[in-house]
Amino acid sequence: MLERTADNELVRRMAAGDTAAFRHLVDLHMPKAHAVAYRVLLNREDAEDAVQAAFTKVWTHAKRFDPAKSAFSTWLYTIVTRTCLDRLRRAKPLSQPIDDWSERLSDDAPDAQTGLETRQQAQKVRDAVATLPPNQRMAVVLCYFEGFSNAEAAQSLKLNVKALESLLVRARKSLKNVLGSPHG
Amino acid sequence: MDDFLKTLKVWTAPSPSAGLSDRIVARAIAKTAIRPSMLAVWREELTLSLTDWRYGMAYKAAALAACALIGVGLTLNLGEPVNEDTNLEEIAFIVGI
Repeated sequence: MLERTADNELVRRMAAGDTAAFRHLVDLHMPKAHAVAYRVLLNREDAEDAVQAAFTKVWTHAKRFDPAKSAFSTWLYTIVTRTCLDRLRRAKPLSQPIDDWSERLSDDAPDAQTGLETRQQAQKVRDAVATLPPNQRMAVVLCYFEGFSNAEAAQSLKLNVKALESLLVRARKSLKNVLGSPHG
Repeated sequence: MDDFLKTLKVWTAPSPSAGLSDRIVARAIAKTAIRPSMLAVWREELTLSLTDWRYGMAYKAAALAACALIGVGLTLNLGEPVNEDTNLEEIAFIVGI
């Protein structure tokens, strides 16, 4: 609640042209927005472009935000979601650039074997998520990876909760088919 | 957290590249904070509603219901003769025949 009030105050100042308030909002929300965009677009460069476009829209449309209707984060993720889905529909995502994985390779792992297995498992999850249709992918990213409640994710996707739950059920089934049982 | 979610969480997202916040702010404030025109807003809404079938579902359903109602109404009324009760003598008197 406190976070919501602080966000609303920052948006109010941003709408009045306060760039410091905008900067603060970017610092607060950009990492999570970037993670959402990356998992949906599966490409670091596209994710950064999408986040850039989304925040530009936040800045230029700041006066359209109505705190009585939704929290700032919901409004922001609605914009991020639309931006990512638009990009997904317009262009087929490129395969993941090598630098994304080189970054992973440089991570400290307890031992080489565990590190390799983890990377292989991560690649498998990424490939499985990549097979999902855009709306299912977005629902999975918001709810399973980023911890949004079903109500928040539904609002960001402009769906009712039942429709979101149906997307999640279908996505979960597809992912389980691709990934297989963790114990089987 | 169930096993399925634990399996998914193995895939971590990379951190945003250094300086992304600066680039976002610099590029965004290069644009003036303006209220978009109603035309731009309508165009955006129309594009969204045409590209995403779920977007604005309530309005789409209402429009469909209205079209069906108008269609049924027209179908019922077009069959009826319009001048059934017209008094031709009265019209002839008015016209002056």
